[in-house]
Amino acid sequence: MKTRFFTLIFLLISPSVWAFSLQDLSQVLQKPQHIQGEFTQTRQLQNSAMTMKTNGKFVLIPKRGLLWHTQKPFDNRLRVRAEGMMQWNGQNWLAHTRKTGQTQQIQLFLDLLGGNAQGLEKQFDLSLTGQANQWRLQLNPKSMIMKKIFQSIEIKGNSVVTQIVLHEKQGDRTTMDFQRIQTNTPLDEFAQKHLK
Amino acid sequence: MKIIRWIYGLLTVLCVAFLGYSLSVGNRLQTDLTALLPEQNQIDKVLQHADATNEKQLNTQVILLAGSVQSEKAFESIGKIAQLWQKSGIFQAVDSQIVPDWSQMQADIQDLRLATLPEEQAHLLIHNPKDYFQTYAEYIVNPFGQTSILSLEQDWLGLGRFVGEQARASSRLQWNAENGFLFVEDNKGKTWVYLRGVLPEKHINGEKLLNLLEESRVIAQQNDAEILQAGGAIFASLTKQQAEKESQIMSLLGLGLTFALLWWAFRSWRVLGLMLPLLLGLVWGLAVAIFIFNEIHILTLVIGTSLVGLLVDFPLHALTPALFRQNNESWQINDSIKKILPSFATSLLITVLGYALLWFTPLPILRQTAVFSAFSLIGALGATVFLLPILFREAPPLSSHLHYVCERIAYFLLKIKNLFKNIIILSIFMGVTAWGLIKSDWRDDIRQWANLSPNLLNEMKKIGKLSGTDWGGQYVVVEAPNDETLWQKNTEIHQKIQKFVDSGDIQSVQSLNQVLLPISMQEKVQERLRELAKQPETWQALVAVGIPEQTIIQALEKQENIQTLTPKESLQKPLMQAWQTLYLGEIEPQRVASIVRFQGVKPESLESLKHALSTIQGVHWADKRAYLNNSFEQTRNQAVYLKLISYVLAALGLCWFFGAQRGMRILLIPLLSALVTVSILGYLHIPIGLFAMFGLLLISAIGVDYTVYSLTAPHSAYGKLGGMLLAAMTTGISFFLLAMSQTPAVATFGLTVGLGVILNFVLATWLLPIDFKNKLN
Repeated sequence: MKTRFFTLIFLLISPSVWAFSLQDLSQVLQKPQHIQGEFTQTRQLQNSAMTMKTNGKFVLIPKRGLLWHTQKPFDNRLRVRAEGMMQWNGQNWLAHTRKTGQTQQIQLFLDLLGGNAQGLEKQFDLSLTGQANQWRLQLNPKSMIMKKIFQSIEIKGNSVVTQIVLHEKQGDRTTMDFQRIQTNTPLDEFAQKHLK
Repeated sequence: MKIIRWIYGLLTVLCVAFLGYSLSVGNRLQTDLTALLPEQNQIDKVLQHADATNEKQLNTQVILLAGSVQSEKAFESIGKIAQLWQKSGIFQAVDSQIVPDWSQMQADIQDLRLATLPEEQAHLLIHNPKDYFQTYAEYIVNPFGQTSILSLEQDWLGLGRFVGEQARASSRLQWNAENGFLFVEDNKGKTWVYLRGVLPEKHINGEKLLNLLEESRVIAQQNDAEILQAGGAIFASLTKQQAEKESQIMSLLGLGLTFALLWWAFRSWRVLGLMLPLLLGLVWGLAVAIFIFNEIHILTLVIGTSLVGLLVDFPLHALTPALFRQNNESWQINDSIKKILPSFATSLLITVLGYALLWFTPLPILRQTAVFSAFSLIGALGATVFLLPILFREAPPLSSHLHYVCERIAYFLLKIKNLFKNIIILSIFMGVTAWGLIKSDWRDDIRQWANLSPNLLNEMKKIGKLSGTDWGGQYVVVEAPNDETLWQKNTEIHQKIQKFVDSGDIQSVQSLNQVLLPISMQEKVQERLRELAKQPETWQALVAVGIPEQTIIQALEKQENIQTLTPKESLQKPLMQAWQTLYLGEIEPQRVASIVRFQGVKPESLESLKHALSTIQGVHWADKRAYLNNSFEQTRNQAVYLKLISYVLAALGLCWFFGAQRGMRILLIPLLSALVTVSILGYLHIPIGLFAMFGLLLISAIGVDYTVYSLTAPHSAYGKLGGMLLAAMTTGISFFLLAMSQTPAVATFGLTVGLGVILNFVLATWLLPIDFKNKLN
């Protein structure tokens, strides 16, 4: 009886059995009702040794959309939804002209941030390492167009995504760091009004 | 006589030999519907060029969409179908999975970025560069919206980010990055995947194409997907297949029924001998037509086969009286032929004359039919005169049942004739006929010439809606002395049409100014960029996101690879393929032309659209259908005049042969039946176009034939009645069969002649001196 109990305990804590799977990751990432925080985006151009940096705030409500509020170097608010992207002009949301491939790109980002492994698997080979409190997801493109654009994509996180690194085919690298992330804390008025 | 017999024999042998030779050398059957159209020599060169470009595009591409609610199924089906198409060898090219050549695309985009810069962006750069660069800076740091294929270092000024979108034309198709197929989703969530095959311009194997499409349909069904298909070649092949099938069925059925009827009348297998005039008639017609035209059109054959009935008229006229001879009367076929030969030769001459006049129309099909018919008649006449006597040495057995039928018919017709002696009934009849004549609708419509399957038309419309593919939408041709003015005119037209688009009267418009900047504007942009190098305040936003000032100044000053391109140079790039057909280039010195297309024009707003564009010089409406209808109408009117001439000539001939009074009487009957036929068509709401007109021509020929026979042949009245009855029935069979054709034009033709034959028969019998009362009581 005792041995059986210990075997059970052993099995439960053994990493090989209790491995952190993609499914688990999706579940973890899709748990919060909404996420908000700050971002820093750094784009490094390979050939010019040049760094372009922007930062701001973001609010993500899975299945509703994403507010991407750049504050530096200039103020710019974007609302990103599966069907398209809009820009705030101070009074209204203006539709960006819809472009080919843009929906796919938008979907990719929503999938990346929202941890939609199923969506990502269509275009990438995914390999997940680490545990629930510290994981790293490597995306290697398998679809034709993603192969043309990306060398690879890396996502790191815990209960939320904390960093996304895009290695572009031509050598540029874009890093997005997310800080001060809060889940399910009350949203500000703007976010409430414009993401509902 | 003997010499003529020898000549006839010799010519027949020549015809058979020539026909055998030319059929063995190659296919002489022309099936292309466009071959029917009048030759366009009066049309302007620019319009002609535009038309040819348009036709080529329409006729060479075949588009197929496979749709399913489960998108994978749709993609799977298209994958399989595309493989099938590629293997088939029918297509010159099959566009299925698009695998872009990245470096080629990058090079094209670099070259094109100035020439295809959207006009409003050019204006923004020139008049409000600060806004331009602010938007561009936002674009650079926006992680969601980057669609440029050029890297930042290849395109510091951001001109290239518009090229891809510009090049895409108005297509609604999206590119599936996973598999490279183009697709579109409809509002019911169905995914439609796109496949396009390009046929060679000539030698399209229609049968193979149709089989291939059928196989494609089966594949889609197996994969639970639906299919839509469209393409000029599909219509052409289907029409051809239908015409071939129809002409086969009709000639077989016509022959079968004709001989059943003859067998019933003659009760002798010898009537099969009547095949001979028929066969030799067709051999003559075919041989001479191919000799003259080098080919024969399928529609000529369809109409020609209807001659089957007409070709046996003469032998029937000669043979039938034998069935009505008095018991002991001896009967010699040679005598019978000799008796009617003069009258028959006269009517033949008049008929051939009527056909010969058609030679002067500009329509190839009428000319072919004229030659074919005239020579078939001559061939058949020769066979009757020279060969029948050998086959029918003995008189056929008396036919009491035919006699009985003739008596009943004669009695019935006489009663009707007596009715018309009543002045009231006659006036009512005349009134009714006149009203029908007034109601008759004289117009031509090219759509009557072909029977387009409504299913296919529907599929085509659906494809147009889903993919935004343009199917023979309307267009105008714009011409100007140079590219610069051409661009201005395009802009002007575009602006005017845009109002219609905004109000929903037109779905969309495609013009060159939407994608190309004129050289002058490109140069202006270049110049402005150089100026901006000295105005750093306008591009501070770029500096703010981290691009060094020096880099921007260098880009503005040096403008590497930012070159100007003429429309021709721009459109030559593979990336701009979708727009290539809009630019026609320099057709003649000082005449540059382009096309402005519009889709989904509401019919009621067409006139105001035309009016709106009429103020711009150098705009030509290219409404081919209207042009064709117009030219058919002209030809039809020409046929009317020719017919009048043929009447006058016939009148002269008849009066000369038979004296003035009799001659005019003979002419009156075909004229009357033609009038009544037109009146009936009027009541039936069948438009009288070229084909009906052609039918009327034939009616008068048959009418003259019957009348001359009934008035002048020295046979017994019943013999002549029987002869005409059999002749009318055999002719009627073939033309009423034709009236059931799926092609409206052919059906109208058949109905016209069928009606006319009956009327001719009825009227001609009234001329017979038969005293029915004695016989029947």
